[in-house]
Amino acid sequence: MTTIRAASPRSHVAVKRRGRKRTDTRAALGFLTPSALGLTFFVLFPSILAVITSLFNWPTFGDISFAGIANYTKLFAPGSTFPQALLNTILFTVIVVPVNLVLTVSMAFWVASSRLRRLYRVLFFLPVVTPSVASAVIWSMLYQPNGVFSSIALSFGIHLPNLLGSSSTALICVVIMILWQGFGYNLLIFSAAIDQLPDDVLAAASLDGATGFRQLLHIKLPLMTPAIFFASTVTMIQAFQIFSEPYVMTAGGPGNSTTTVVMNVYETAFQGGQLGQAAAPAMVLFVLILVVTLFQWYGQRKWVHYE
Amino acid sequence: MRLRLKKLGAIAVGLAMLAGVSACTSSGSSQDSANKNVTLQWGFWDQGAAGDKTYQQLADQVHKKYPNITVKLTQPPFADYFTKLQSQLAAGTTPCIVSMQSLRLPGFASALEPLGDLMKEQGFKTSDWDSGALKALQYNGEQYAIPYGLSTMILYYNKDAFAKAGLAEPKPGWTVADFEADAKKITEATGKPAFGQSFSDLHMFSMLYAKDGALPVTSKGKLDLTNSAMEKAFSWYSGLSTGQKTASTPASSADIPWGEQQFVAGNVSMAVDGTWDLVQNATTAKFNVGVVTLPVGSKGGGTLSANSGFGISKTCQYKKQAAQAISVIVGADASKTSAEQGNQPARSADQSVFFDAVAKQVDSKTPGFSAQAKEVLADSSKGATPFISTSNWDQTTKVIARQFILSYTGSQSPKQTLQNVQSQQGQ
Repeated sequence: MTTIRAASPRSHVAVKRRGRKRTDTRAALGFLTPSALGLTFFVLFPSILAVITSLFNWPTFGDISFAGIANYTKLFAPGSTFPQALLNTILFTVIVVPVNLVLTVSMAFWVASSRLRRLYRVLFFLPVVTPSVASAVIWSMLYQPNGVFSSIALSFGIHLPNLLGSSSTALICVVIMILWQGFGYNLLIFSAAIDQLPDDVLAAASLDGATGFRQLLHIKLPLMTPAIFFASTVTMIQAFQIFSEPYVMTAGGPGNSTTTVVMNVYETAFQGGQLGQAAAPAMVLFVLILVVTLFQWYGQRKWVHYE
Repeated sequence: MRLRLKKLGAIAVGLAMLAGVSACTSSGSSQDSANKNVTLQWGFWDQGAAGDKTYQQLADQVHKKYPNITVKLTQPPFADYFTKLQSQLAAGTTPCIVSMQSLRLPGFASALEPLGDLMKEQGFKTSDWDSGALKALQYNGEQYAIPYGLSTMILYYNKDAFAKAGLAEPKPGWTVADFEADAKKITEATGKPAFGQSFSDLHMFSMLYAKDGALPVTSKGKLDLTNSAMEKAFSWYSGLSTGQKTASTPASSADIPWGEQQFVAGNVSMAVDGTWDLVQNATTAKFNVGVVTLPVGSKGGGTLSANSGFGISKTCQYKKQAAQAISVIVGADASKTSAEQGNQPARSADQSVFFDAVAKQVDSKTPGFSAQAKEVLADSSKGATPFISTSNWDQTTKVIARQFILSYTGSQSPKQTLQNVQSQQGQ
């Protein structure tokens, strides 16, 4: 005896769901595959290769031999410029990130209150889209002993030193240029965040007597913390990777006062021809950025408000 | 299962295509197997608009003589050329024909093919060339590049500034004391520092060599910046800006060719530069340019020389064709063409053609320039010493610029500066 059971509506739905799930999985795979392939070939594979390279004596041409951790120990050997480069990179980051954030947040509020806000946003964003090498060349000319800054100072009877040729002023001159160049990007992010501030919350705060600076500190800034978190993370990573500006303006001098880790990597690889030795500082920088970013990521729970 | 196999197949095809692409580009040359046509890449540095045109014509001449050879010339700026070459070597895309400067040869010799037998096949005769120019492009007794020009370091001066300061123009054999006295008077008369300091290896070290016979590298290619002659000469050179106040200091360590650029711009009245810029400097400057030998110091003067030429990369698949191309590029006809453009040739037979070209291009602006240049170049060539460098010279020049500016500005003693570079770059 054969019993024919009609498929229950429930099982029909389950089959439909399974079918949709399979279709969704295929679509998801289709969308993900190009990114996954790109990530694998252009990020993951080179990163693994860089780790391997750092363990080898790997000249641009010639024989390759295993070096163990020798490339890492050489970084801190007498005569190595890496410790100074690392210190300079940290110094650049420690100065650039907070100054950039304070300036851009302040300016974003000022721009938001202006009738010419759109014009200001475009003007401030122009340095971001200008090639950094071109900007660095222009700023080098401004800083020259007979340049604009020296001439202006001289008209007030002030004799400026050779700004990019003096150890005491070169780093701060490069920092000023970097701040000018990166200013517009964060300004745009904060301007967008200010535009998104909920009017009802601000109105409620005003009714409760929170106005002016109090409203800024206790209502507006907390509401902007997701944007501040994003901007601080991106700016920090960019600051750790500073290269073209000091390379064009000072070539890392005077002494090693503006040498950075990425400059160290570039010179060791493409002027020294030592790819293995160059990969070691790159790995150190990678770990440093990773640790600081993780620290920021976990720290955000305490100060970033998503609602 | 079938789907998986298909996927694997697609990946394999993709990888094979990638491998195919890299195989096509790895040798710096390509070949059409049916017609046996060969395309050779020629890496050279920028020679200015007129120079680039000349060398493109030479590349075309190769194709005329050997129709199966096409030469593709690329010319990045000199400052980027050797960095690019490093990355090409790392990527396996080195050009077949590699332009090489004698100062950089120790660092790149192992990537180049010794040319002895290859050039003999092309009828190459050493007697046709200036012996010093050929020797400068040898390493461990092997010829790695064939020179196209002769280059010694001389002093360029602003004739108008000398006249303004009421000074007689310097003559070959003038001394360091004469130079210092003239620099002081010109600085006072023009209100601008008379001499332009530099970080460029040849420009700076040739002055130190002329002053005290100081050389930065031993004959065996080891960095030797802390020898007593170097300390004495470098203290003097730094003192031109810190003590005598007659020199213009580079604005930053990135301004490596400072003095020579400031001279052409009219901001200083004297600077050291190579003979390769003879016509360029004299015609570009908006004043009358004169040339003189470097001032003679305690060791009898002299100058440094360097040469550049064309070699063949080890990875080149068509070395014979590359040698054929080089034989045209540095051949008698090419040398004459280059000399007519105002480039001092390495071939002995074309020296008069070069000076005729200098006369044609400059004498109408600055009367007597070619005769003066002929005298100064002959004198300089007699006392010229080929500049020997280290195998990591490119990196060393960067460190030199970073450290030397500290002494030029007076914030670090010359002795300490030399010690710093030695400890960072001495191998």
